[in-house]
Amino acid sequence: MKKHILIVEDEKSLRRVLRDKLVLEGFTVSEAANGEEGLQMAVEERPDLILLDIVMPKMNGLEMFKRLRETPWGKTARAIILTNLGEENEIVTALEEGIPDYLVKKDWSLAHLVEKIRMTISEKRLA
Amino acid sequence: MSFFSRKFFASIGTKIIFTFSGLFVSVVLIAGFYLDRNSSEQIASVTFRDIQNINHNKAENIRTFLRSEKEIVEMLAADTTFADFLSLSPEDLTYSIEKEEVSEELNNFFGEDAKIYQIVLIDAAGKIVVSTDVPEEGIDRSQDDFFTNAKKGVYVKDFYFSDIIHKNTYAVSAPIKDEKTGEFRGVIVARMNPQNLYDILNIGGDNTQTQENFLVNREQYLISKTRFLGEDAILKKQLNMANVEDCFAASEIANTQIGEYPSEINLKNYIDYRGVPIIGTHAYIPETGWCLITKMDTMEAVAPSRQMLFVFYVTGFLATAIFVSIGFLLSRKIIHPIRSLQRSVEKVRNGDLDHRVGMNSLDEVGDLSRSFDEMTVAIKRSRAEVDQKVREQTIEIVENSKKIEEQQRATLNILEDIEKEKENAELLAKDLEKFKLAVEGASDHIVITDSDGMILYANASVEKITGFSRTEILGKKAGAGELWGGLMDLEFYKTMWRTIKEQKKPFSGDVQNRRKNGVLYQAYATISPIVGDDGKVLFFVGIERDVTSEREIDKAKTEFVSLASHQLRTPLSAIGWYTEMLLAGDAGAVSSDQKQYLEEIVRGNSRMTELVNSLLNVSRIELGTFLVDPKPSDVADIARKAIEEQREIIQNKELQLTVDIQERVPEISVDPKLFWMIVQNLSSNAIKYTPEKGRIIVTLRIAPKGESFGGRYLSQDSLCLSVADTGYGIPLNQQEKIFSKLFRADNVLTKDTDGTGLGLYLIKSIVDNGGGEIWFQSEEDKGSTFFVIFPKTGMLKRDGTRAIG
Repeated sequence: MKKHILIVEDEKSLRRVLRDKLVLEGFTVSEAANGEEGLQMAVEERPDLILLDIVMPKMNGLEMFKRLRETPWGKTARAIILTNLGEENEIVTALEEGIPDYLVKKDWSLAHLVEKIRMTISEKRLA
Repeated sequence: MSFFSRKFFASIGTKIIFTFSGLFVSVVLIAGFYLDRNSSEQIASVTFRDIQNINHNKAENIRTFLRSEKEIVEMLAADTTFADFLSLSPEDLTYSIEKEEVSEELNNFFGEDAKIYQIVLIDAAGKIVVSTDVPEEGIDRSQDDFFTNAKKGVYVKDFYFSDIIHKNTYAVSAPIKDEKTGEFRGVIVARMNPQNLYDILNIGGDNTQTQENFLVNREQYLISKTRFLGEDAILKKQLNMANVEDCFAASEIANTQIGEYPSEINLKNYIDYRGVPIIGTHAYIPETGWCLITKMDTMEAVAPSRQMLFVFYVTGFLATAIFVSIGFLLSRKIIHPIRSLQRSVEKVRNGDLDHRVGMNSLDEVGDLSRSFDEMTVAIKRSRAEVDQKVREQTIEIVENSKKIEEQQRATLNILEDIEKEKENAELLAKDLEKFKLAVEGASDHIVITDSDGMILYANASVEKITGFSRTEILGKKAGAGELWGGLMDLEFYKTMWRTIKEQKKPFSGDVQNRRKNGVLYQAYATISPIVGDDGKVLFFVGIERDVTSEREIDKAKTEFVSLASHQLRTPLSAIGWYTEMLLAGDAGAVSSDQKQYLEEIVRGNSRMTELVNSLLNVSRIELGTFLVDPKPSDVADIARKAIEEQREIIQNKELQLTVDIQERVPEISVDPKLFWMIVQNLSSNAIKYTPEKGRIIVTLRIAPKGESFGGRYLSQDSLCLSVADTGYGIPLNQQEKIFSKLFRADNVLTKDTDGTGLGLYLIKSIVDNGGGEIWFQSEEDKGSTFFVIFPKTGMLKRDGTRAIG
């Protein structure tokens, strides 16, 4: 069965390249343009993994993940944070709150990112 | 030890003796008092009983005697001869014969009984018919009581003085009656010799001094001798003693007449005729109406008690004396060692520390003595130490006073010097005047201070910039809190003073200042010492420029760069990822030409990413702190990889690279990204600024404390990195600025336009924040060597909010 990935990214071009690559790699992909939308879709679709941008309008990634954690399903949700240089404050906060499974910087290559996604999904859940 | 001195009374022995003897004497006195009272009373009552016995016995004897006398006279009167004779009349022929016979018989009787002075025979008419011894025949005694009372029966006439016989006497008279008819014929009277009574009384017959018995008649006249009154007192001395009065009391008389004497008469203390206290009693003699008094002086009666008391007291005081003596001797024995201990203490106190008490008795005094001796030894020891210290300190004091003298001389010298200085100063002042004129109109804030920082001069711009007037400024300390300064931390001022005063070098840096109106501003200050010929600092010249707006612009610039970089990142990521997809053939196969073009895009993109990353790092450093997160790392491996990345350029420039990394470098706790950046930047600089075919040497090792590295001694075991090249070098006049942001030396600007001027600035910040040091040696056209050290213990952790990389 195909693994389901939810991409939450406000930048349309990045969202699209990620979607295309992941579909090519054999994943089922959903897209959300901000935290609000992402939260709703996550609760509805229960993806195997969420690729989460941090800086977004309406609701940022951290806020979205925090709210998701409060839902029954959200407790076991997994996410990879897509971050940029200069967002270290947010990363530290995320780490402190135990939110993301992995941090991946956007200047990493797509191949590298796909590898990371596969690894994360195949890992056994501790929760 | 002198008696009655204060000391004597204060001594323990005396106290003990006096206390105990005083107690003893008190006990003796109190006991004596009670003994005396009890024994006196007992003896008095015993004496009283004795006296009572004597009195009663004698009274009985007297009564018996008197009764016998009465019987004798009665018997005589019953002799019929007398009755017969008295029945005759003188005319009868036989009268004279009979008279002779009667007279003879009376005389016989009289002669037989010495108790009788005289006997007379009185006829019924009361006329004396016969008398013995003294002739008194014919005298009429019809009115005499011994005649009238004798008519009724035997009568005893009370004691009286007889004119006939000229003697004190008493008379017993008895009636003579006719044998047959009982007719009264006359009376026979016997005047009695009281000696017999007196014999019975037996005054002074006992072994006493004052005990006496005497008789008193009804009129209370003495009728017998007493010890203290002779015969003359008889019938002359009337005794009104209470004892006598008691005797003649009606109740007593009545009691005596019905029976015996009262056996119990309570002891009474009387006073006798001499006025002396006596113990006495009495007995009434009813036959004659006399009273027998028996008495003794109380003094004599209780004398045995007194004697006993005396003996008691003597014994008591003797015992006290013995006790005191023994006590004295004992206390001497106890006190003697204490005294000798005290003498020893005095000796020691007077400085004889070698003296020892040396008493070895096993008692407490012995213990005390031994303790004292030990103490003396201890004192001697500590005294010796003190003496030693005093000697040392004395020497020190002498030395100090020498030093003070020297200092005084030196002071005088200095005063002379000051004179010279003053002259110099005047010369300098003239120079200063010229200088002041030159800078008065300058737009920068300029102050001149003396060597202690006291402001001597301030130009017009100081007033304009700070808002303080020159009268407020002059004479105050430059940079003090009361003026525009005092806002920097202590370390800043320490460094500044060390630089300008000790090293005598100019100091420059950004300073936070405050205008008089409270508004803060940033100034870039340069303080330069003006050093005289003798090497002393004469003045400081401080030049400050208000750089507030410059700094604000700087900040805005940094923020802009940060924001811009961030915004650049997103399109860069997009370009990168889309190109990656194209190259991977995700959008269909690409030709080799297309592939080449796409690869150019990738290269350009990555160069752009690198530049943006550098700009971001710099802006982050300037905006605040960044994170240093050390973890045990293989520093050798990191260094090798950082250099390896640049092998392509090295080969292109035909540079000769030597990498000298110590074997088996242990893991060191560093932030791997930061360490990678340090090696990468230093080596890329070396490559960039070294001409083709030049040489580059990178070394990495752990060096122990004390070893020399790059011209410096290591203060601790350190990780040492050096990157040397044979490049263009850094011009001497620009070496100070080499770590400044965006600085690029003149000599390389023409040769290579690739540099950002951010690399060394970034490295210096990283090294400083990680607790390391960075420095270099460089000569123009010869090359440069950069040295970096970190403690072997690793980089300092720094809880920044941002990571670099």
